[in-house]
Amino acid sequence: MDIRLNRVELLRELVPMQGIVERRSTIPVLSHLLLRAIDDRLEVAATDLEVSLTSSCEAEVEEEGAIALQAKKLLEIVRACEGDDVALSLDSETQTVSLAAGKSRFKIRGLPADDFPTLPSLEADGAVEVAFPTFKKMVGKVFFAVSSEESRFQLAGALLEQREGALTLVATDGHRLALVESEVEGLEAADSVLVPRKALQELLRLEDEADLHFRRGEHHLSFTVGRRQLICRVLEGTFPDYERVIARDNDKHVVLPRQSFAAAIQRVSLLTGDRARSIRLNLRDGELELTAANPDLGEAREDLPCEYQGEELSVGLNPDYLKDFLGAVETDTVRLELKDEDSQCVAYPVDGDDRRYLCVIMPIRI
Amino acid sequence: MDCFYAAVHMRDDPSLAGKPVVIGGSPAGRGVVAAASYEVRRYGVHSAMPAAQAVRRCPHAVFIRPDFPRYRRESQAIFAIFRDFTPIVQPASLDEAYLDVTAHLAPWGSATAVAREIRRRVREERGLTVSVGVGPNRLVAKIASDFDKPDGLTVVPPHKVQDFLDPLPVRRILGVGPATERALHGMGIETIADLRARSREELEARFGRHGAGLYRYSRGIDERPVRTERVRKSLGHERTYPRDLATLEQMDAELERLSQMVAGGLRKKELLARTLTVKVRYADFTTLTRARTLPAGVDDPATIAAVAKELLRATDAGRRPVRLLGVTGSGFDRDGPEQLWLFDVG
Repeated sequence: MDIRLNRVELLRELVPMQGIVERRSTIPVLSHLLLRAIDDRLEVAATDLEVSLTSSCEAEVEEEGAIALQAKKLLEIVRACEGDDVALSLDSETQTVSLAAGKSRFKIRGLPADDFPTLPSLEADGAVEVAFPTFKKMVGKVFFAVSSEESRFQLAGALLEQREGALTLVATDGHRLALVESEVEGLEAADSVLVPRKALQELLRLEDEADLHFRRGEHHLSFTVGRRQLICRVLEGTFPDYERVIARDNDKHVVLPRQSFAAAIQRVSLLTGDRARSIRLNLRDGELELTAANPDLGEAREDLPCEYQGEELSVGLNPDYLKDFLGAVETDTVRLELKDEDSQCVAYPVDGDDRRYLCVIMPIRI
Repeated sequence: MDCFYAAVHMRDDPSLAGKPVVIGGSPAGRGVVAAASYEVRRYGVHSAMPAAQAVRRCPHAVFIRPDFPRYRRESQAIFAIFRDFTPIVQPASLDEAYLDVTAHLAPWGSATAVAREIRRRVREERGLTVSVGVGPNRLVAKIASDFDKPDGLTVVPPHKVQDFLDPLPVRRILGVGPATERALHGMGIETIADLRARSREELEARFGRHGAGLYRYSRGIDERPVRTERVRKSLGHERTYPRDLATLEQMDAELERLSQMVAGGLRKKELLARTLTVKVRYADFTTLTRARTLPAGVDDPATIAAVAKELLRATDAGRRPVRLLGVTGSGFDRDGPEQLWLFDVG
């Protein structure tokens, strides 16, 4: 390998790779990136065997070749160097890359490209097409509800459902559930698949205005955005019947300004218990009162005026769950629909752009 | 699952077929056997044995480092198959689960048919064999699943439970480990039938509350439901050191590290432990534990470490070299607010 390429362009490809590589891997090559100079470009790939990301950038290729280099160190070096261009040349005898940029010269020891795992491949054509910014927004609206509990593997991802004209993402950790649905033209066949947490997380990191091409293989999913392609394993498991838990008979509705509601929760939750974080929502005519108490520290209270006429209700909720929703929703006003202290609270945006967006939160019994 | 860890490697690497395979730490160091294939068990190699000893018993065994992420993935795929049959799946470990199929027999007709179908699907979809026990409760199902390993299916209908249990050694019963087994043998009790012949009073007098359990289990009575939500009873960490620890200073430093890990785990799971236990294994493998119950639950590393160090001083550590230390928290306070669930999660 003997190539010259733009330093900033290379940097732009190295950054999103960092989330993929395994930091604590027992397999050394998984902390590496595969670099392959071919035709007029440098291809870059990272994998942790679950999720892989490939990309490329333009390069003047004098001699083709491939090598695996330690991902973090390569990023640090390319980032720290000066100059517009970077030159890389491989001594295949010693598996060492000479890197030159500005006045700096590095020799970086690598691992043979053959040691790098073979990546799964999926073609991008015939795929579902959606604007990537739209898709990324959808992911951002449900990601907080994805379970990080390893034992509940079937919840450690989001359900991606397509049907005619619409794409839906649903995530739940068992205590709360978030669902977002967007209109997407050109979708036909109905299909659903579980996308693992890490793939969603890495997609959230990608910056691109292009269209996303999503394709499902037998065991793998492929997300192609511009030159980048993320491939992950399909998460196996049965996702719960989510429509069943979206309460439709909640008769107590309260409409609140998003920002002041979020700020009030933030203040009141300063005095929740350390372990079981819960605040109470006390709903009565024309007013929502938020309270929190910590046996060691004291109490907090805040009143929010609201348009509510109806029975009084007091319900305990995890303030973080409310904050997650209020942080993801874009509208100025939100609506909570409640029933009683043991039943789920459903939160909606008021006049949002999504065809459907909601978050179901189970109360805390105090 | 049969010989799960080893089976996964043997499935993925055909060159291992028929070979004695040991999954575990390095035999050169102080590694321990995590799993042994059936081929190697013939040489007297079993799990939890020091790897060095395993090499002596079977010098031609193939040693493989455990790959837990891989086992977890496999386990997830297999448990997903289980969940196709019933939502009530209680994982007992990565390779063992209880399934309550009472309300989900319809498409198959009987629990036996469900068991056959599960075995077929795991074999065809995952290339692994599984042993299934069918019984009226967890106790009987578990004993039945161990009855015909590997690749077995044992069905014990309700009216056959006693005939099935009676001739088995008492060791098969849940809660009968080496110590209880020795005590029972000392009382002339070898089989479950022998145990059943004793009165509840006698067993309670000898074993306390545990005795009441033995009385019930010997009759095949087990009312524990299959629970999808695992209730954690303890949380601990332990470590075997590459070189024996000689001084209390060294051990204190290790106890601090272990306490840090335990505290981190407790906080992550939002638990407060009222009972703290320190485990010590001397160089000659004698093992003992010292425990203390505190007035209130704790989850901070400093308190846990302070108690652990005191408990350590109630042992011979410092006068005798130590190869293993462990710290465990248990006796969790579960009062207080309860976050409700949207649905039963597996």
